[in-house]
Amino acid sequence: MKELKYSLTAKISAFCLLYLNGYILLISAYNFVVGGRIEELVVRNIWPFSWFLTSAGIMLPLTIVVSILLFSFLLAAAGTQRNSEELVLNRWDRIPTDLISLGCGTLFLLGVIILPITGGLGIGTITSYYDLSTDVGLGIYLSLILFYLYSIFMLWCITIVKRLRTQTLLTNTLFYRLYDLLRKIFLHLTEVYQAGVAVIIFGLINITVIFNMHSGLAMLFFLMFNSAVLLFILYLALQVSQLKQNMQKIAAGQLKVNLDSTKFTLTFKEQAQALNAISAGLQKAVEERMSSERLKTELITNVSHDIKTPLTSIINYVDLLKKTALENEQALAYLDVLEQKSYRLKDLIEDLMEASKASTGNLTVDLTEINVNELLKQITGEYDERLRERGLEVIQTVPGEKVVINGDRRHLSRLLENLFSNVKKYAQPQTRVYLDLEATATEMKLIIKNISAEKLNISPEELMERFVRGDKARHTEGSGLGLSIARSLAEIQGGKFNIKIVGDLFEVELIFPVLKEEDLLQSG
Amino acid sequence: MGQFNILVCDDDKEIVAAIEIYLANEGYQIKTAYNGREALAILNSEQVDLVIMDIMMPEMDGIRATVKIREDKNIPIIMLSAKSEDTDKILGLNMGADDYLTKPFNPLELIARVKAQLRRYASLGSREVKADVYASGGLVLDDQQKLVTVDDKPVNLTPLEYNILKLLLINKGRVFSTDQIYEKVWQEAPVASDNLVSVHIRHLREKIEIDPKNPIYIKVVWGLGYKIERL
Repeated sequence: MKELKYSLTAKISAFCLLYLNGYILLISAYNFVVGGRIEELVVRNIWPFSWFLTSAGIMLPLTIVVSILLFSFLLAAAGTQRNSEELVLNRWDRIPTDLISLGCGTLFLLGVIILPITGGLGIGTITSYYDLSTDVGLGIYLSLILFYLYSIFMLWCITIVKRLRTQTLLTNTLFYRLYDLLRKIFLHLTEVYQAGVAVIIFGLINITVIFNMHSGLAMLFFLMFNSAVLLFILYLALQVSQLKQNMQKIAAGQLKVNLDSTKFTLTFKEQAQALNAISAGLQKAVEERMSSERLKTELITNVSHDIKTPLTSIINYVDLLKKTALENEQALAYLDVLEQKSYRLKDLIEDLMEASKASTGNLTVDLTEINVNELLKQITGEYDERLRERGLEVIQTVPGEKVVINGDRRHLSRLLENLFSNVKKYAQPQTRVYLDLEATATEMKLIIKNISAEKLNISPEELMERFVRGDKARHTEGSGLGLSIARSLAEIQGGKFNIKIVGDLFEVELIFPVLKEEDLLQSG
Repeated sequence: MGQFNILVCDDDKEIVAAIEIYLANEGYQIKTAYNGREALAILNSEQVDLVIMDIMMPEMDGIRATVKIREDKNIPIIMLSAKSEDTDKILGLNMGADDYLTKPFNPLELIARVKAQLRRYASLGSREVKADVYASGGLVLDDQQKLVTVDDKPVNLTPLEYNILKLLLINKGRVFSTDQIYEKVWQEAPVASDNLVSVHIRHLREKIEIDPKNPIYIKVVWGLGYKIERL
């Protein structure tokens, strides 16, 4: 069956058979309608039709079925070719649909006109008045004309089917080609010219319609056209607002935007695509940054481990060396320096790791309720003597009622330790240090104020940068990471960390949201 | 204190040698291994009372070795590693280590922890409980003699420090806020913003702790109070 589809002979045979079958069908149908009349009138003696004509009751359904089968076969076989998956279009199929339809229509009409003129009469009259058995010439002539009409109709059907199946029915029309050309010209214009052309076309159409307003049809068209234009403008406005929303999303930091650009038209399609590209680019940049930060932290952690192992030996053997009875005073002094510096190196490494983890959010945060009053008592007790040694007097202003916040015990104590050890290191000796705790219903503010020993000709932002210290000479202890760590630690717990510098007055402000009474009761 | 055998396992030979010197000074017998596999071999053939184990080692790391040891032994294992992250500590302790110390370490602290582990291992369930004697690890408070010792060395405390220590030792594991301690020890109503208690605690720590910055006995629970761990 499949092979049959590819065979040209089969196609031609089917084509001819369909014609013959149609011929019989016509006569059978006529016979069926007219009944016995045709028998007496005309064709008893025409060979080979006589038998068919006498048995119209069988022949009519039979020929209808055969027609359908053959017609279907021809349509199914149209354009198929051996060894080719796709339909093959010939020269005729490439002629624009509207043109070929017009051509076929004209030729068909010509045939229909010629038929009665040359025959002198219509088909109905032929069968009534002419005896076909005697006028064989007329019979043949009639058949030829019918074959001509049949051929034109079939060829048109076949090419239409091919076009339908290759989806070129509408695109391959003169009208579409013209539309496409205009569309391309329009799309090549910049947005401003597009808008201009659109408005002009809109105006021209409306003026034309308004001048013909007397007709009811024009009125209807006017309403429909303007409604359509209105809808289209609303549709464009919708796209603009969608673009705007997504742009705002990106601006607000929500970088993941994926617009379906096929739902946008004209210039908005390009804009949607561009927005998608921006979103993708930003996401990629953020991801890259994150992974590079992670790598940095990993690198610092690994390097720290590698440094710590030899450092362990240095510290241990310096200690052992000190314990062996060294006679030389000088040597003991040197050993002290070695010991101090090795411990300093240890502190530096630990600070560095802490800073890198805190700034990349690689620290686990375990939030619990923390009584700030208690915490302050503990930390000030811890530093009481160390500060007093340097003549620093701490003046505390703490409210009587309990201030409770959500924080991580270790991170918060580390943060305060950093701040107090900064006070110890950098405050001008023999001055006062102010520690104020202020609490409102929603937040608490812890303020530490001290007078700097060194000139602070540096901005707060700079001071919080890693490795920056107030004294550029860097001769004090400390890694220059304290404030950077403190800020990161405050932020990962949901707090705020500010620095103010007024002359030599150095002020640190730590702000945390306060837990309310009912929150405390709820959590038991 | 009897002869204890301690296995020191670290791939850095100098660190092993240093630990050996410190512990030998305390009278312990030392065995050495340079990776997890060697440590397991020694443990199979010899009597060992405590293991000091590094984590990052070739052939078999300390974590895997610890898991192996724990299959049939419950001797104390102290991990000694350059890895100082919380996650590493938690992993080590979960895998069966009894204690975790980070490098670089304070030798005195290592010795104290070794002693605490051995004391607990040796006297597990068999400690004779004397009346009015309270202890946590190497820290012992004899309330009859009013005497405090750390690893058998007497410590001089002021009456207030003594009372604070007694309060915390009697209620081991319980956290006391500064106000509670003030009420119980000073027997007065607490005054807001007074850091008297924390100052005393600091003094106390300087006297009884090996490294006051990393206390073993008196722990700070920041924003809550102080407690003494059950050791």
